[in-house]
Amino acid sequence: MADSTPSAPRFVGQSIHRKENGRFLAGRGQYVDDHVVPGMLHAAFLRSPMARAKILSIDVAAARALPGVYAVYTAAELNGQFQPLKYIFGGTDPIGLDYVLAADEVAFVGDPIAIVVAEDRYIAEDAAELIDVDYDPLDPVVTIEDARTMGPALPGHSDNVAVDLHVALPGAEEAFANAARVVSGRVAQGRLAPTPIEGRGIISDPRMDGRLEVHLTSQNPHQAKAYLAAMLGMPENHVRIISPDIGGAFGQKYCFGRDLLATVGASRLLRRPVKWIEDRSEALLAGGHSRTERLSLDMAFDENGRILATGLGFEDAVGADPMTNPSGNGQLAMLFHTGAYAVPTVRADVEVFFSNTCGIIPYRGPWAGETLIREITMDKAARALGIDPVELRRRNIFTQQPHTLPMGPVIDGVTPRECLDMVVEAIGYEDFRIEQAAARRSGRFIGIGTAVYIEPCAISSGGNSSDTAAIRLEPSGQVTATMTCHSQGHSVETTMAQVIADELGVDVEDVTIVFGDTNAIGFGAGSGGSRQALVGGGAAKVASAMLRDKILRVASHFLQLPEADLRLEGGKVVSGAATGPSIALRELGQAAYLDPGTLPEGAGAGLEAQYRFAPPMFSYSNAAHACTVEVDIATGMVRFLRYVVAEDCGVMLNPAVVEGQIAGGVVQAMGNVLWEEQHYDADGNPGAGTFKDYAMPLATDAPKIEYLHLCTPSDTPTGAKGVGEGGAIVGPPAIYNAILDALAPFDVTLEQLPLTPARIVAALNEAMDGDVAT
Amino acid sequence: MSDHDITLSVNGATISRRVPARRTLLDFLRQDLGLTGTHAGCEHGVCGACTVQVDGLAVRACLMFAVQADAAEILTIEGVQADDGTLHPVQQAMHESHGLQCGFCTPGIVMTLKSLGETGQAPDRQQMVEALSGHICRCTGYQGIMKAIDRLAGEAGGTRG
Repeated sequence: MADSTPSAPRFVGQSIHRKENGRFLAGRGQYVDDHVVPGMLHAAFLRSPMARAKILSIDVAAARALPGVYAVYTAAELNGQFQPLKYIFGGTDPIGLDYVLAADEVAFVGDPIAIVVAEDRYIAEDAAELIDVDYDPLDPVVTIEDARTMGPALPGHSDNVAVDLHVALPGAEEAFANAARVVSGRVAQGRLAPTPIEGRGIISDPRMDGRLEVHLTSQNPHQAKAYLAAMLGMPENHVRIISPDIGGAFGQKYCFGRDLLATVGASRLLRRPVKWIEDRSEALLAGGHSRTERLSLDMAFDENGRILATGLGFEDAVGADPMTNPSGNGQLAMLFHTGAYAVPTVRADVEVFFSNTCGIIPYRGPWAGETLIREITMDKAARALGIDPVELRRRNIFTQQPHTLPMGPVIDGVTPRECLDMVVEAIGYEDFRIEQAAARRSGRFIGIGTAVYIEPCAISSGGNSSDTAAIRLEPSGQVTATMTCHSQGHSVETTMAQVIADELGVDVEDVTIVFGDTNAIGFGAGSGGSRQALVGGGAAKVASAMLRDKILRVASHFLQLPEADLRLEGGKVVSGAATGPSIALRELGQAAYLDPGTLPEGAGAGLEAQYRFAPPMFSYSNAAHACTVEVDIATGMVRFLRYVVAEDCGVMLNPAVVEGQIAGGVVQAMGNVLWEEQHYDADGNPGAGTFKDYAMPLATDAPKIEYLHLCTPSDTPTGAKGVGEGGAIVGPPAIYNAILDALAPFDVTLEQLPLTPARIVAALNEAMDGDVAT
Repeated sequence: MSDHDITLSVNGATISRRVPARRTLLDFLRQDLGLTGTHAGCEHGVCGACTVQVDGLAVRACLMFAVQADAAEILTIEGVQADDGTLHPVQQAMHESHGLQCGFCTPGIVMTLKSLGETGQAPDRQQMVEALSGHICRCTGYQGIMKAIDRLAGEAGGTRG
């Protein structure tokens, strides 16, 4: 590995405008639904209208007879192509539904029963409506309580238990027994639909030679390829996944849903390309849900407000067809729920159940509940102990690093105390307390919330262990990098080009990043898990440095100067002296490919290098958020006043991209706390089938976000750390705490997200025996 | 179901087609004309990703039938950039303000902000923000788009807004 950067970075650290913008601004992006394959047919699904029912009969005759319909497939025709389904991330957790289409029983509203393939989508949907299914309704398992007390929700299961994990470290019970004070917090998430504006989609194109080409809305095409081949029992080298421009993902597009698999199955039976594009109702009902858990945290304090022990409770009903391992979120919550605080010992209980609801998928910080419950319980403890919440945090943030968490992970190079101090100062914490007291006297209720976290980022294990970059100097003197990173808005065409351009002394416009096609490059993780600047960037940086070494070796031969006197600059190799000899990269490229005999002995033709970077299993970034809100106690409406973020994500490849990631996460956090909820009623009927019922933040809801940056480089090639998920992880407790702080005079209990106006007014009424609002 | 002959202008070209009565303008543009820059986000008029201009006004192409566009002048995102590649001021402001990430909602937002500027008077900041609130962007937290609006308001009216 080359060890030094030739000159100071010119592009890394700059908020250069994105290279990918041109095509998106001109409407020339190429999303899955924009692709047309010759002979392509269109699919639509018949989905269950019931949460749980026996299927007594399915009559597809009328649907099949409709002109323009090519096929209607049910479980009987389609499921046999597939192995029993597994999780895309592997593991040993029990699977929910292990088949593609519902056969004898439907298990949630939206469960796919039949796939119709027709010459266009209009006809396919017409035909789906002509399918006649006779159901015998069964009592659905909807809530965690249902799952504990009722028989199995899913056919073929003997009970509803997916995960049952209990850990009590030595000293935990004694710590609680001897504590000066124990404070307990509780919160239930509002069920979220991740809702990228582009839904999921696929074109499955079975070729006559047995190969399968699939255009897929995927964050991780290589893992999708391996998974699809395994589920079909096909040779992996017969499957190609092309994942083009993707219109947002946030974790949802990590998974290969049953409807996507059914489309592949239908295309193979028909031997025709078939496209299925998820519509919005399907996305809300069956596109995967997240933030479904219910959390509790007991915190034992000594008489000085120092934490002696924590006890985490994590309960979840993960639906019928969870796409992500049910134990994953709970295990991460167990490991990391102590956050930035020095906690000597912990106990944790994780209980996860299957249910007759849509299965969970990963979503931007899937384990984020641990930060939510910890940070809101810290504020509750502060109120109970009569200590200011910022002071309580300062007393408990660990001061020595490396710091070993109670359950083993070792954290180093983080700055939670510094970030907390930065947001507290920037938001004018002390002045706000004075303003708040005055406001309360005049009947206005404003509040301030803070929250601190440490994020395990770039988590690297299993299919996410590594990413790779293959970089070549072309005969033209320009640079092409083929990489396993990906973008659903992550800007890697710009950020990776910045890294490479600096190493090779070329303009960022002369670097092209290629990704998203499993035929183009070997296995890699893709996007997700806040990994790309660190892992993809690391691969790009080292591969570029390797290529630079070869370029210098070749240039040294041509210029007859020692390599040590040469550097790459302005698309040329130049010598140390200002007026010294130089050679253009284009000349070197021409020689390397078109006249390789002129290269130095042993150099080999071409100017190419590849490097695969496998980082440690965990890297750590951190942040503190502070925000201020005003709550109208008559209407329950919450208005943001200010929102300040201090983030330490190490070296920022492109600060505008970093801030864009933070902003997206923070505004999703607002949705999480205030509006978004896919609520199931007691019969398992979901409440939101359109965007009229699923309220997301709008431009007029979002305050201007203020950013402060610290840079503690990671010990990786770029020095970057992850930043993609943090806003959505620590944003929710900061917002929640601000609202509860505003309402502190009323001592309200608000333990169910989202904190809608109705819930806030109801909580105020309960706290004040109906005296507040009318 | 009836079919209808329509003739309309799309990005300056005259187009004649026979369309089923139920075909949305969105599907007509995307599937019949291959103008895939207009995106299907929700197909029920909330998210704004499919916004185009019909006779100069911003319209959600998912809520209009192609047959209703007979004799209309349609402008889609593909027709916004100048022939020499110069970006429209709205596109340029979005570009320079990090106003987009995945790019899926972007064409609709550009069409809405652009249409505001064509009703005679340059829109002020508040008008643009209110128009933007008819669009859902899931990536940017609206921060970059608001910056683009600030930039446009500054260009149009100095201190206005």
